[in-house]
Amino acid sequence: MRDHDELLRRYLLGRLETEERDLLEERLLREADLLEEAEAVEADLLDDYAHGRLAPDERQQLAHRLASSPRGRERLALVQDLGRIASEKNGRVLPFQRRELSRFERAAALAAMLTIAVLSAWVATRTSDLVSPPQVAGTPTPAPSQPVRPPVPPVAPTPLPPREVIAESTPQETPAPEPAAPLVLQLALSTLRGEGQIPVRNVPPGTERVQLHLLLNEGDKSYFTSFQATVRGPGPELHAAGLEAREIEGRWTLVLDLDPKLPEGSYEVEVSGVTAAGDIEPIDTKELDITRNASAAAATPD
Amino acid sequence: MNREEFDSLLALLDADREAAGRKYEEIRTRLIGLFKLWGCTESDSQADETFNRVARKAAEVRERSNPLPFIVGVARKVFLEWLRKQKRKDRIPEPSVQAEEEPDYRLEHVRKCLEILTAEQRRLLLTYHADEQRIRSRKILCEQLGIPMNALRIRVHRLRKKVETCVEEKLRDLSMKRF
Repeated sequence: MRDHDELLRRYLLGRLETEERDLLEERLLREADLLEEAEAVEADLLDDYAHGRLAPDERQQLAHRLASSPRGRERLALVQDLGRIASEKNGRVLPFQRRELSRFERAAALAAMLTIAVLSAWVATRTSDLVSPPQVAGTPTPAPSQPVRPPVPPVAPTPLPPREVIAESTPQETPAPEPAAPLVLQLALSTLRGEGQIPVRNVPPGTERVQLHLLLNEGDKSYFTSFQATVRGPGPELHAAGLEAREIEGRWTLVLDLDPKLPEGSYEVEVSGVTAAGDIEPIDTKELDITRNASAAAATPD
Repeated sequence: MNREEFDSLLALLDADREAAGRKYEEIRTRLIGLFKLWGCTESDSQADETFNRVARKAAEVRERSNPLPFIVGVARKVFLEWLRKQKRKDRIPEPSVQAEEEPDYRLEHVRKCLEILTAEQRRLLLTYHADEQRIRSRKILCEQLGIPMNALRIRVHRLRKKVETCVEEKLRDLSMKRF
């Protein structure tokens, strides 16, 4: 079965030779179970991709495949959403969760606790003058009646901001002494949804500060040690290296200060990650149209 | 596909017309699955297009004992054409409300669609997708359910597919309303 999985995995990563691939695809048409297995293996791959668990070459191969797979990108989004919802529940949904008690069981438990409490009180009143004060130190701690959850890791605050959005908002972590809050343009990376729909955003003339917030997915954040971004458009090219992700409103974000006088037109934002080994890998390239319209609202979504 | 072409297609699949009809349905279902696996979002229509083309060539293919390699080859060609069209379409910029609002809706839809599962199914699916202590959690799931990892994966996949279908329907409803 492992060989089977491995074959499907290699197929999904585009690693099979043409002949091998054709034979497998013929089998996929013939064997219903195999198709289902392939879909399940694909979901595991996407899960590994979303959490940055793939080897660099596998990651690249899958990214290449996703680039021509609108449905694959939708599945990736679903897997990411499921992971996000799971992490809100501390990622230990089943094995560590107590079973819900029925009404009868709850009533029985309550009755048992009350009985114990009454008995304990009675014993205490009967023996209080016979024993010395309780020895706390060295007394074994009674086992908790409920299983103790391990420490909870920090969880992203909810609600999360939209991921495939260019929208202006004021970041929570704005330093107090800043003369003016920046106009923030958010751009989600690697979610691969809404591809082809180039967002248009208005930066009204007179805006004093403009920031581009590039939202990373969890996988990229953990996989890369730093990031670099290039913004190309009608104005001078902006290149920023050694960028570090900051957590803003629960999302790992790369922040770039843009020239507030940036001209109207089409822009391309190219983002790469730098691995621990120093390799630079492309993450995503997004397009963005900027308008400079005085009458249009800056921060109001359409 | 006209009547004559359809008859040729059935004859290609099996000499017995009834058996050919069953095979047609089976292969069509799997073709749709294969298109989905390739990443096609219009898999039903692309599967039909594949059969249309196969039917037109059925007479030439009939000599072959196994038509599946030919069908796969045609399907791949149809997919690549669809992909090219898709890429061309994607190059046309269209400022869209949907692109901005979909992600929020999407996550909310996933939450809502999880409710179509039973509490146990929901916990199974979410535990499987939890990043923290992933390997340990999945092993525990296998032990609790008494099934091997492979069977767990398939079980989770079926649950995820239910959620996926539900989310797709909700997003489709949303875009219909906007339209």
